[in-house]
This record gives sequence, C-alpha cells and structure tokens, in this order.
Amino acid sequence: MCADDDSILDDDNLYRRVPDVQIVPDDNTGELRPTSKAFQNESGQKAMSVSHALKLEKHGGKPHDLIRNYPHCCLASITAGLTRTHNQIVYYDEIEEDISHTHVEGKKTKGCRRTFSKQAVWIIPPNSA
Amino acid sequence: MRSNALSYALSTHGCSGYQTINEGLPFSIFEQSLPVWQSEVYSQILKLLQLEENWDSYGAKKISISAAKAMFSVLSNLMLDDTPPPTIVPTSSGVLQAEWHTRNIDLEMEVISDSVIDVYFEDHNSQISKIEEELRVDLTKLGECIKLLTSRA
Repeated sequence: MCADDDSILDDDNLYRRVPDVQIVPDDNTGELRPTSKAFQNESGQKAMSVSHALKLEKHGGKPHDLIRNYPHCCLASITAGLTRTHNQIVYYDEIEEDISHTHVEGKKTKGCRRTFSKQAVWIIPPNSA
Repeated sequence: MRSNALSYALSTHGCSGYQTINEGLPFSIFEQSLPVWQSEVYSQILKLLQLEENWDSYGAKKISISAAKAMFSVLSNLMLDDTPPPTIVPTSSGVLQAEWHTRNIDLEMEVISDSVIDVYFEDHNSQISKIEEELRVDLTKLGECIKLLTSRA
C-alpha cells in the first residue's frame, strides 16, 4: 500500500472520465450526473484512476486531452479532500499516456461512491465532449 | 404486438443477441401489453451488451449475458406493472445496476447475482429508513422500496 501524498492538497481537483452509459438523469435535482458506479476501483484493483488537474495543467495539458481518445466519455471532477474524508489515500502514479495520472486508493463503500457522484462537478459535461 | 422501444431495440441490435438474452426468462418478449418498464429495460440492456471490453477507458469488463439475465430475473420478481423504469448502468466488473432517482427517492440496486443484490435506498420524505446493505435471498426490504416508489405520485 502506498502512502498518502500530502503535496496533493485537499482543494486539488481530480478528473475522472465518465462514459455516457454511466450518466444518469436525477429527477430529484433535475440534473444529469455520473452514477455512483463511475467512482469505483478498477476491476480487481485497490485504487481508482484519476488525473491531477494542476499537474496536467503544469505540463501543458488540457482537460480535453484526457478524453481525446475516448469519444464516449465526459469529464467530472472531485477534490482530493473529499476522497480523504472517505478514508482514501491519494498519490501520483504517472503512466506513459498521462503524466498527471493519480490513484485514489481505499475501499469505496456504496455511500462513499454516492457522495463522490453527488459532489462531482462536470468539467466536460454531457453533450459538449 | 411489441412495444416501440422493443422494436427499436430489435432493429438496432438484431434478433440473435436478443433471442439469446430471452432464453430462460420468466416472461415472453412477445407477450401482449408488456409493461413499459420491461420493454425499456430490454432496450437499455441490449445496448449495454454491445459494449466492448474497456468501455469505461479504465479496463472495465464486458457485460455478460448472465448479468443481463440476473437483472431481468430480479426485476421481474420485484417490479409492479406501473413501476417507473429504472436507468440501467454497467459496472466495471461486468454486472449491471438499476437506478431510480425520482419521486424524492434514490434507489440503486447492483445485481451481483440472482440472489445477491447490493442496495442503496434513501427516501427524502423519510417514509422508509435508509438502507445500505447487501441483500441475500430475502428481497422483502427491496420489494417494499419498489412498492413505495411505485405508489408515490
């Protein structure tokens, strides 16, 4: 298990791609939002992949770069602080295709995933990707 | 006579996959006067069965026929004719989740198998207490949630 990286501040935004099949209408709020299942650890893994917004920007990247190869995806954002309040640890995990790739590691209960889903802010919303 | 949604699903995705899904289901797709939810759920699931591996860009598994059958089976046991249709979403592990966010109710049920269902239920009018648990075999609680969802105007 890796350690939480405190150089990633609580206010830092973490971007997560959301495929169109994981966007649900919420008639209670009148909005389209990611399903809670969009904030799940990768199948068989302990962590969920995100991209660190500031690191992406620092290296000249833009939010649209993250979905360029995924035409059916939108982009949502949650803060590192929100994930930490649900017992997650956050650390950089640079990969070849995304220098800002970051892991949010920890057990994601249904309540935790629902909170991420409800608190998520669209960076590239549906119908604009 | 098939509903419009069902006809659309058949024309879009072809009959072969559809017939495969229909095998062993507790109702016939050719029954007259299908409840709205049945045809809508069919249509949604047919679309999700077309997803390729890695459909979420993070390595998600393909949705299996057995996951589709399990969802139909559970819904058929719980839904009333006039229950509003859920939104069906795929999960990265290759199973399906049904969701309702309407009538001041949030209900999510991930059908892990015919008899194991992960449920989140929240009634913002507080008629039924919040539920967040994995139900096994006894789906009475979930049935009560669906009845409330159906009856609330």
